Amino acid sequence: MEKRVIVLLIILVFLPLVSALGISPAKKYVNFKPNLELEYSFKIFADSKQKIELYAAGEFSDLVTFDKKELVGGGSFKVRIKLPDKIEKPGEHRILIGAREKAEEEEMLGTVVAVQAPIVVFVPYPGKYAEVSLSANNANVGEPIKFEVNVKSLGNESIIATTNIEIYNANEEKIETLYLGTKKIDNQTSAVFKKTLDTKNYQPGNYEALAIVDYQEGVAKANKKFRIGHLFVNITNYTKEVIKKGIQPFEIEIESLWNDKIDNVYAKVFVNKQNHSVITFQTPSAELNEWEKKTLLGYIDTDKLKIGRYDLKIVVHYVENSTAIDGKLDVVRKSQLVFYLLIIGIIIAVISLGIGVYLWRRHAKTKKKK
Amino acid sequence: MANQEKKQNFLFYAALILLVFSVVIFSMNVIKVLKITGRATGTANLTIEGKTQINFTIDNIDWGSGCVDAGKPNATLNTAAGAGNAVINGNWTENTDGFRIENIGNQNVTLDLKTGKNAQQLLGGTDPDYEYNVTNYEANSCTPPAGFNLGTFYDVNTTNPGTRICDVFQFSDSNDVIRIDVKLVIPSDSKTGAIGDTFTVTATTI
Repeated sequence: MEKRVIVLLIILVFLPLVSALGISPAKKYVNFKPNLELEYSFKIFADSKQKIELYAAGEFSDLVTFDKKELVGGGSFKVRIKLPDKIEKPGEHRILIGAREKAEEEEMLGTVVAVQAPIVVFVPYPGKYAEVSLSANNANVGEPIKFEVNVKSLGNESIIATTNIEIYNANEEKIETLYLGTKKIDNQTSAVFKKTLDTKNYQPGNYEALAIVDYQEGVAKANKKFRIGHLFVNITNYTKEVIKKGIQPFEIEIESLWNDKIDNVYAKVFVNKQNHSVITFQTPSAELNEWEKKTLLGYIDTDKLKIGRYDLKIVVHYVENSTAIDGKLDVVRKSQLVFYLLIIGIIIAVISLGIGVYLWRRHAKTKKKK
Repeated sequence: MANQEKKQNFLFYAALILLVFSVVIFSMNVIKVLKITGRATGTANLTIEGKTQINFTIDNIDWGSGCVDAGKPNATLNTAAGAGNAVINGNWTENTDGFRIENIGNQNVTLDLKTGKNAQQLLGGTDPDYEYNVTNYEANSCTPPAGFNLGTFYDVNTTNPGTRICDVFQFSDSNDVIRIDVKLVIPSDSKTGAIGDTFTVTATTI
């Protein structure tokens, strides 16, 4: 067989050509006007010896001119853009102003960073057009919920916007409609409608607000989910089985339905058998932020328990309230399945060994006779 | 005596001039202070500019020099494989760090990744591989686009603007670092000598 030693020498080094590169401002917005001439200054953040090349990309990049083509070690530069007399497609168009480190080492594998700041040119929609966004906070029962509806007039004509908010519960049933008013909004401007919801007659739970803005030539909508809380900590899960072996961890998963922080939350666990208390233990206390889910960790001494099923009572204490649930706890032997598999494995091994010895002896006897 | 008297007069007038000068300067300062404190209301204008900036906090993968083991069809160099498995069938120096990129600006950005060469151009030979794998070094730093999975190796892309690896690369301090690992499968009949390529990461403000 032909033996050939193949020696291939490959040098693979990723050399640091750049560490950090930045551009500011990070973004610019402009509303389109025919033949509009724009001029922006940008600042580049780079290491002192870095060579940086400047470039334009994205839409209308051919309309961009730079006062410099490259920089060394950061600095400032200006771009000029003359927009065309017409852009057919309405909406946002992005011109990207970029800075890229110049790779000079061609013999190595290197890393290069590029950063791009978009100039967003917004072309108005024909006629009347609006886009809407909605914000809402969570609250506890009785506390106010503030709604803010931001309406942008993005067409080339002004609009008259009438704004309502519909409130739906978790079953998607409409609870009420709030009227936020009517405003005239010039094209390329925006207006904010505000309303406060009184929640004293609301049940705790999850809700959804739907903002509906009627601007004559159309309707714009936006939705936002919000929650109304009450002082309650829910027990969502807990350890249902422990192995009988010394001290074992016991977890209780809890969830706050309150819109504020709750301090000093802890659980007491009562392990009972036939209505007699066997063990009681308590978890360390924890803080629960608004709507937060957390796991309380306690420890149970299984040496005091026998194999079998026990009754559980878990009581979570918080502020001056508590939540209690009943459950079951199984105490099991350590890895029973592994134990049985081990026994079966040993039996198979002994039988195999016996057969092997028998066959070997028989083979030896046959050889002697020959 | 006459000389001493002249000296005293000189000192007297010098002191007088200095005193007058001091009073004038003091008065000017008092007027300025009064003008400032006299404003009951005012507006403080402060603009914080957005800045898009990223940093290769680990920008160096150094495997040194090496060769494919005799009799083996190829060697695999994988920075994600962990110590002991990072170089298979070769004698290069193991690297288990990969690249690390941090968003040190104050904007969320998209990230695109491209290389200058593909596997064949970089390594040559029979069935070479040149792949990368993106993972969150800090939880939730990178939200990948649909169809691109974190923790999966992909062939490098040499076309502009590269492959979108993060739809959102966050800037918040505890969620702003990703890691890029590189895997090379070097055939025994690959190119020899020093080889070169450029890994370009482009950050664009969202």
